[in-house]
Amino acid sequence: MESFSLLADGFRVAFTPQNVLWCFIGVFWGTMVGVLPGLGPLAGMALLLPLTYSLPPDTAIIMLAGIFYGAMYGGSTTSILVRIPGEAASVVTCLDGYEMARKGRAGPALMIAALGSFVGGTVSIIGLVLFAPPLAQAMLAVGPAAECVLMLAALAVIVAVSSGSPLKTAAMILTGLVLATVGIDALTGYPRFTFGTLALSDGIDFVPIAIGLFGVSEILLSLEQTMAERAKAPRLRDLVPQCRDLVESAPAIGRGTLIGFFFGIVPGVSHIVSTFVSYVVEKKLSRTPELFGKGAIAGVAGPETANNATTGSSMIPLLVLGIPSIPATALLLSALLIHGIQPGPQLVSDHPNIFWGLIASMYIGNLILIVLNLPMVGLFVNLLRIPAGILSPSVLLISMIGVYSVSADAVDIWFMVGSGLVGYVLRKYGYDVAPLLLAFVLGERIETNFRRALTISDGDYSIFVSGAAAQGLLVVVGCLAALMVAARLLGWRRPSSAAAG
Amino acid sequence: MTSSRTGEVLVGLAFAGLGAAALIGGLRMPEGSVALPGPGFAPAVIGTALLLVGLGCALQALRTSEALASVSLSDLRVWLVLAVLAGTAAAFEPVGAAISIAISFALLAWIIGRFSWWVCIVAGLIAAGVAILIFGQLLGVRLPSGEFGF
Repeated sequence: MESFSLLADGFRVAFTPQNVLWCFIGVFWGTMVGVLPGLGPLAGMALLLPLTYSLPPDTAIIMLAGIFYGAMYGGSTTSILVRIPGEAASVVTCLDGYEMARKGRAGPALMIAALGSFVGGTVSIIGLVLFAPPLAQAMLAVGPAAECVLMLAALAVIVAVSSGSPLKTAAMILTGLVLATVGIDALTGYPRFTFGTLALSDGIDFVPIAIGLFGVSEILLSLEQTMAERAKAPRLRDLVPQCRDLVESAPAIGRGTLIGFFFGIVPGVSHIVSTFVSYVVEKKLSRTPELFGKGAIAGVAGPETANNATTGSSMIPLLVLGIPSIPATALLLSALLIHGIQPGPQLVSDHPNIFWGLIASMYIGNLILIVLNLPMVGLFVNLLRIPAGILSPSVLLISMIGVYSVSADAVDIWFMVGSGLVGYVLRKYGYDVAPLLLAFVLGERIETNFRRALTISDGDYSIFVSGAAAQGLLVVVGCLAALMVAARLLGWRRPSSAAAG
Repeated sequence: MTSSRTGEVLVGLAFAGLGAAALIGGLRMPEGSVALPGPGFAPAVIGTALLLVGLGCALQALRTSEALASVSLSDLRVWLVLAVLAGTAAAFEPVGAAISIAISFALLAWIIGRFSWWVCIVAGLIAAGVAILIFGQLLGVRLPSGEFGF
C-alpha cells in the first residue's frame, strides 16, 4: 500500500504543467522518431538530450522516457501502413498489420495496436510499481562482489541468448569493455590509453558512440536501400474495430502483456525477442494458424502489446540495479548521471520525486499516446514523404550539433563519425552493435566493483560466489537465460542487426 | 564487392588487433597483483580475451564455406557522406558552426538526394539558419563562431 501512496506523490510531481508539457513533447517526438526508419528511440533521445541540460532532473527524465515509449508506439504505424518498421521491434507487426492494411483494414489494425500498446504499457508500469521498491530494498544489502557478478552475468546472458554467432557477440562485448577502460582510473588516478590528451582523461563519452553506432550507421545503411511505397492514412471513422476484432485480440493482448513484461527484464534485445515470441505463441494457440501472415489481427495485437510491455519492465533493472537492459535505457542511465543522479537501489529512497514522478508520468504518457496519436496518424505517415535528401542530412547535422553540445569539443564529433563507420562495417558483417554499447556503459562499474570486492576480501576470489546475494543473483540470471533459450526453441530468430534502440 | 568471408576474417583480425593493443597497453601499466589488481589488470585481461575471441572469429570465418551473398562496401555515396562528416568535424570549430552546417548540408543533400546544385545551396543556407536559430538562440547551445565570427 505504501507504494501506491508514494505513487500518488509521483502523480503530484508528474501533473505539474511543466512536466505534463515536456511529457507531451517527449511522446510526440518519440512517435515521430519511431515512425521514421533509421531513427529509433536511442537516436531520438540522444538528439534531444542537450535540451534537457537546462531542465530540472525529474522533468528531463520524464521527457526522455516519453521519447522511449513514444518511439515504441510510433514504430507500428509505418509497419502497418507501408510495411516499413520504424524500429526493429515493429518488424513482426509488418507481417499481419500490412496484410490487414492491404485488405482495407488498416484502421482496426492501428486501433488494436494502439489499444494493445496502451494495455501492455500500463500493466507493465503496475508491475514496475509492485516489484521495483522491494527489489531496491533487497539490493541495498548487496555489496560490490554481488553487483559485479550481477553485471557480468547480464553480459553473459547477452552472449548466451544471441541468435547469431556467440563469438561475434562476445567480441562486441569485449570491445565495449576495452573502450570503457579509456580515461583516468577511478581507483588510482592512473591515466589509461589517454595518449597524453585531456580530451580522453574523462574517458570516451557515451553519447557520440551511441549516436554513431546506431544513428549514423543506420543512415549509411539506408543509403543502399530504396523506399518506393506511398502511405495512405485511414480516415478517423475507419479506425473503429469490429466487435469480433476485439474478441479475437483480447487474449492476445493479455498474453502479450505477460510475455513483454518478463522479457523486458532480460538484458539484450528483449523488446525485439518479446515480439517474436508473442507472435509464435499466438500462432501456435490459434485455431486458424493458417491466417497468420495473411492479416490475422492477433498477429498484430500480441506483438505490439509485448513490445510496449517491455518499456515498463525494462525500467526495473535500470532504476533499481542501475543496469540498462537495452541501448535506449543505457541512454536514460547516461542522462541520469549527467543530472547527478546515480540509478540503483538508493534511487527509490534518495530521489523519490524522480522515481515515482517518472512512473506516474508513464501513465500520463501512455494516455497521451492513445488520445492524441490515432487522430494524427495522417500527420505521422506524411513524415515518410520527406525526401531522404533532406531528412538524412538533417538527422546527421542535428546529431552532430547534439554531440557537440554535450562537451563543446569537436573531438566528440570525430568519435561520432568514427563510430558511425565502425557500426556500418560491423552491421554489414552481421555484428549486433547493442552488446558493445551495453558493455561500454557497464564496464567501469564492473571493474570498480571487482577491485573493491577484492580489496574487501583481501584478495580472496571466493567472495564472488560465497555470498547468498551473489548465489541468488546467479540463480535468477540462470532462470532468465533459460527463458530466452526457450524463446529460441519456440522459433525466434533475430531479424537483423538493426536493433536500433 | 568484397568477399563476405575475406571481410569477416579481416573484421576478426581487427578485433584481435584491438585486443593485442589493450593487452600490451595494460602490461605497460601498474598491474598490481592477482589478489589486488592495479589499473593495468583489466585492460590486460580483457585485451587477452578479445585477442582470442577475435582470432576465433577469423578462424570461424575461414572454416565456413564461401558465403553465397557478397557484402558490398563499395557504395560511393556512403564514403562520400563519411568524408563530408569528417570534413565538418574538422571545420566545425575553426570555420564556425554556421558555415560548416551550410556547406555540409548542401553537400549531403547533393550526395544523398541528387538535387540540383542551387537547390542544395538554398537548402544548406536554410538549414544553417534554422540550426543556429533553434540550437543557438532558443536552446542556448554554445556553437563555435570560428575565424569569421559567425
